[in-house]
Amino acid sequence: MSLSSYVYMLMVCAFVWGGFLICLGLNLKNQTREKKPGQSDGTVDVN
Amino acid sequence: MTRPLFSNRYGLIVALIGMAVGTGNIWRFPRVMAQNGGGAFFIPWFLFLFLWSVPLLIVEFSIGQKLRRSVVGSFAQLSGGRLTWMGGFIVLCTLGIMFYYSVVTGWCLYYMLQSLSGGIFATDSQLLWKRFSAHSPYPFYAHLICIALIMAVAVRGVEKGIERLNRWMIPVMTFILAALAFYTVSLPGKEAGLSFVFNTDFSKLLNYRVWLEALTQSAWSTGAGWGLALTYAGYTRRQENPVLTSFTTGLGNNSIELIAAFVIMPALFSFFPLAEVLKLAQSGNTGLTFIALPGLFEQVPAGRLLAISFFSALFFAAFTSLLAMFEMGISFLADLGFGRRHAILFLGLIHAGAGTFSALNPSFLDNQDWVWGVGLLINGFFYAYLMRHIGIETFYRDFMPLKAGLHRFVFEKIIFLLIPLEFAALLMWWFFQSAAWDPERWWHPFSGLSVGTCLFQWGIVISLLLLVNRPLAEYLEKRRS
Repeated sequence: MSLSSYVYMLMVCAFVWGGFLICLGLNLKNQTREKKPGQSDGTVDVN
Repeated sequence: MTRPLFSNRYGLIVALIGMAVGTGNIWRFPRVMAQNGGGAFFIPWFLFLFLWSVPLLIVEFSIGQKLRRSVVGSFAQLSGGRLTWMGGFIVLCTLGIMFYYSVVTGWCLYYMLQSLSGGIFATDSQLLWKRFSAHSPYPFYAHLICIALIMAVAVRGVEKGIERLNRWMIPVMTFILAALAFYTVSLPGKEAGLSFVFNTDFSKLLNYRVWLEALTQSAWSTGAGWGLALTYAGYTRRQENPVLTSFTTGLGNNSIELIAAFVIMPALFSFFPLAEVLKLAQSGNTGLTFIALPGLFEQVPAGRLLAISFFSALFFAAFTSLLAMFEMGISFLADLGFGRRHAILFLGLIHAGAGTFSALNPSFLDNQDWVWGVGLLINGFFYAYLMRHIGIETFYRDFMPLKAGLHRFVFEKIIFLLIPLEFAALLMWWFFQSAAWDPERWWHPFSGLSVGTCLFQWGIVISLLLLVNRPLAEYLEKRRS
């Protein structure tokens, strides 16, 4: 495999998997905050 | 009646990824990528995630979590009843897919069990597939078993059924695919596969076909426009951020596709030259998955373990998507006044009956795959049309829990301008392709993959929905109030 292919592979993987992990992390970070008693994360409970 | 809810955000996210990730991620993406320039395909594939799938997921998610109704109920409520038929088309289109998708899920289940028993290697892979798919009652039995399993999960509810199943199936599926990817990239000859997947020949992007195939893959594989995200969004416990949730779903879907490419391509290139790989890709999803791969597994060390792992992952992917489609049907029946258990029983019986034709006749399945697969593009357009009806101001005020900014400008242009253009381009392209496949009978309403059969079946569904539009809208409004 050529060097350009390796660089391209790293870029594709970083964009797709990195993007997914960042989004998942942001989602779960907010979820952890929700669990603390008495703390609001700025969202509204629909119930 | 208590409203079913996901227990928390993680439960919602895994269910959404389970909804989006289906067989198309594993068997279609690597094949389409191979046929469309290898590495160059990643660029339009990644772009269209944000120019078709994610915006539609945002629309669905925002509406779903605000209104907490079915797709039909939401369209009725947002249009004052006038566009109820559009919601009806989306539901029937997705149910049309569900009726044959349980057959496809049944194939995966059968091959998973055959791998466990070792039967997959007892016969020539081509003969095994031919015997199974064309001359046996097993696809029908597998279809019924899948429906029974889906009903058993659905009856336990959203939290204890759908969420609990997705909570273990999705991580296990991801782990299996990742482990398979590590194995295949360690095979001798993997360089040829990786070079093909990550080639940097960007001149391939000058071919319009590469762009249209990438758009098609994005439209079909993320579950955007199917009404499934809208249904699951109605079960959120708290108000979620629709943009972040949609990005997570879309990128999660594409992450699995990328892992699948790492599994399939190095494996194929380890055993076949480029010309043979392209020939295998031409043989379609089933040819590659149920004929080429079992033949390949037979030749590698620990092949049986690989076959069990691969077909288990494929079955998990199919089953979680099928579950989301079934839940969308339940949500519509609940809007009509059905209790959950009655809705599951009624939908299960209809599903078993309607799917029988596809289970017993592969040509009928191909026809339904063609008609409702292309129909999904109309679904995307209908969401864009609904958005025009609502207006961007109202949408941002009432549905989007975010302040308007630059993203509103971009979102508006994509929904109102780009999605209708993408829809028109894709529909025309698929129709032109269909005419080229069968120039004599492209117009015929009873010909397998023709323009005529699409227009005929969509025409019947839309006519019936227009006939019942008003009474259905009035009934739904009466129930709501």
